[in-house]
Amino acid sequence: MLTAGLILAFMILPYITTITREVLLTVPRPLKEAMYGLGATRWEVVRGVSLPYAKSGIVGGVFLALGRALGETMAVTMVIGNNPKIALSLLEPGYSMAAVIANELAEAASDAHLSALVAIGLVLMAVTVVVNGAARLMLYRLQRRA
Amino acid sequence: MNEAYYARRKRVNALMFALTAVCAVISAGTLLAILAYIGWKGASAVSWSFLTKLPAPVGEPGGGIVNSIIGSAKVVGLAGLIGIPVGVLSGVYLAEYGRGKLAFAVRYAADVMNGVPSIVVGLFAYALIVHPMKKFSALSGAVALALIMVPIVLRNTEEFLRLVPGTIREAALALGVPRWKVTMMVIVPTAGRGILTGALLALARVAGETAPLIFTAFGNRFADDGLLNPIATLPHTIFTYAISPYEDWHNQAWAAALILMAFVLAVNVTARLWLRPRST
Amino acid sequence: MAVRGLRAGYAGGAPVLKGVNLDIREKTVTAIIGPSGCGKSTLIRCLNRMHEAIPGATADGEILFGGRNALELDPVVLRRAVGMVFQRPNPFPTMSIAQNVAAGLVLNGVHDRSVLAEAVEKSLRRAALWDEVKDKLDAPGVGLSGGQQQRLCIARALAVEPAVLLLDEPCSALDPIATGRIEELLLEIKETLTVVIVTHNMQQAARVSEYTVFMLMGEMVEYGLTRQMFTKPVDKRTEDYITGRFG
Repeated sequence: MLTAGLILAFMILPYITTITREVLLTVPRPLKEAMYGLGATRWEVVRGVSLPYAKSGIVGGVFLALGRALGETMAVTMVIGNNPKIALSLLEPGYSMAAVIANELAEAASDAHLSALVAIGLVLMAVTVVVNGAARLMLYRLQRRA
Repeated sequence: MNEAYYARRKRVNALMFALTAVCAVISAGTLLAILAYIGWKGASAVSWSFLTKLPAPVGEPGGGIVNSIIGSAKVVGLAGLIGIPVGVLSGVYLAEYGRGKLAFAVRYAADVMNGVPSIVVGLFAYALIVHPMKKFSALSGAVALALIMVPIVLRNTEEFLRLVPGTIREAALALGVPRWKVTMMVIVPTAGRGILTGALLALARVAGETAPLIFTAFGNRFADDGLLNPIATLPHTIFTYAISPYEDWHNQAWAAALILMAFVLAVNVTARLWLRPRST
Repeated sequence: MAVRGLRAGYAGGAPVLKGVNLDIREKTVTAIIGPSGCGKSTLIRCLNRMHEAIPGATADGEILFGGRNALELDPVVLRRAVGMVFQRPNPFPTMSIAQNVAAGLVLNGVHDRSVLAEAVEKSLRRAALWDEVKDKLDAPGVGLSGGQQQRLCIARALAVEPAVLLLDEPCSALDPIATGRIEELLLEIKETLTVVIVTHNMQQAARVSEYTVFMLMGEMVEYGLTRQMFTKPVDKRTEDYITGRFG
């Protein structure tokens, strides 16, 4: 499970980077210049102006990325160990919702098995829709202000 | 001004700058490391026969992945044929006609859809096509990929249409041209380059999707036929080979990954170069 | 063209035009002048209903054109007969010079090459641009200079053979030489069609127009022969404006 977590961390890194960059670019120049004009250092401008301004956008971007990590299937399936038990240690094999579907759907023979897998899909989708829905609203709020 | 305090502020500034720089290097470094590793592992197994031969029977060495390459081209191509027109037209609707609640709902749904895991989309395609037809097929894989493409193409189209200056729209309307003709024959071509690159990037994005193909396109060790039979695709072949117990297959998975990555990278680089603002 | 009790405005704002009455004589140049925000652009944009292209814009009253109320016509049909040139040159960026001029015809379903070529030449000649571009008709329209682009836009508007040509401050983005050329060509094309021009430049109105309309705060203050208005204005407010006492 630790490996899977690490891989996901690297997979969502580019998403967070691009979204953070984009929202930081929407910070109005005059705002930053006003702060520089007061003799602030670059970091003080970032912390005092840019980050607060873009806060909801960055948080939204992080949630979008987490939503992606939640649904990421293949990379997780390959390393997580596919063990249908609740393991206590991060170092033990585990399982994820997406991985179960990926592994079992193609060979689900009985209707009950199929229904169970579709139900997992529904839960997975519900969770990601909620996470994404909230994240998008945060990003919209920033856009409307810009 | 307090000298010591100022010195501390400068130190904090330098420290934070260094921290952000290190993080940036880590981000970029991982990507480069992955590219380099795949290149190194894959290059040794890529050969002409690997690109042009069908897979060898299980247990025998050699063989190629030509069926996966053709399969990917077919599935992704068909996905584009379905997904691009739908995405572009919905984007046109949002940018040119969309106002009020409905437009907000469409835009919000597209954005949220964009974050829905691809495996869930695959599940939907499975329920929609594979289950009723009792058969895995290239068509179902293409439908799954098309569903993933639509929100991407839609939002991209909308963004680029919004960049077309309103004066162009006015100029065309003032010539006594009906609204739909203004949109389709003046506005859309003006944003054409951006819309097209967006569509290409969406194609590249779904070309690398594996999860929705496992139980739709399913995979096939032989030359495919038609659109209604199981078909091999590059990402799926990489997956099956990578989790297999054979050393030979592992190498082939690396090689296939290299080819897939080269394709995606090539499309991305071309798209960015093409979109770069020109000096005029 | 005649305007009767025209009232117009924008979403959520106070009315911009508060009941304008106006008769525009055929085959003349009529200039509309007035200080910023007096409603002159809104008025001219009502004449071919480009006003409605702005979300939330409203207009009521009557605009008589060919004996019918233009506000009840199909705007697409109206705009073919009443062309418009805008403040900033706006050639279609994806089209060549010739394609720009032919755009109105092509988009309205004319595809005969010889007809189009003829219309392109005729319109470019009328817009006094032919000699400058005849050797590079296939070059992109946006590659021309600002003044040439504006004449290209005039040619584009003329190509669909409108009965009326509206120009909304067509020279505000141009230098004096380019402005001079456009004024010359207006004096030529008024032989064949009605021209209405909005300008913030009183000298321009005096140079090109036969009739002048003076607007102030959404109302028409004075309307008459240009010569007369600039020498013996009737209304005190007109006099103040043209002698530069305000605005």
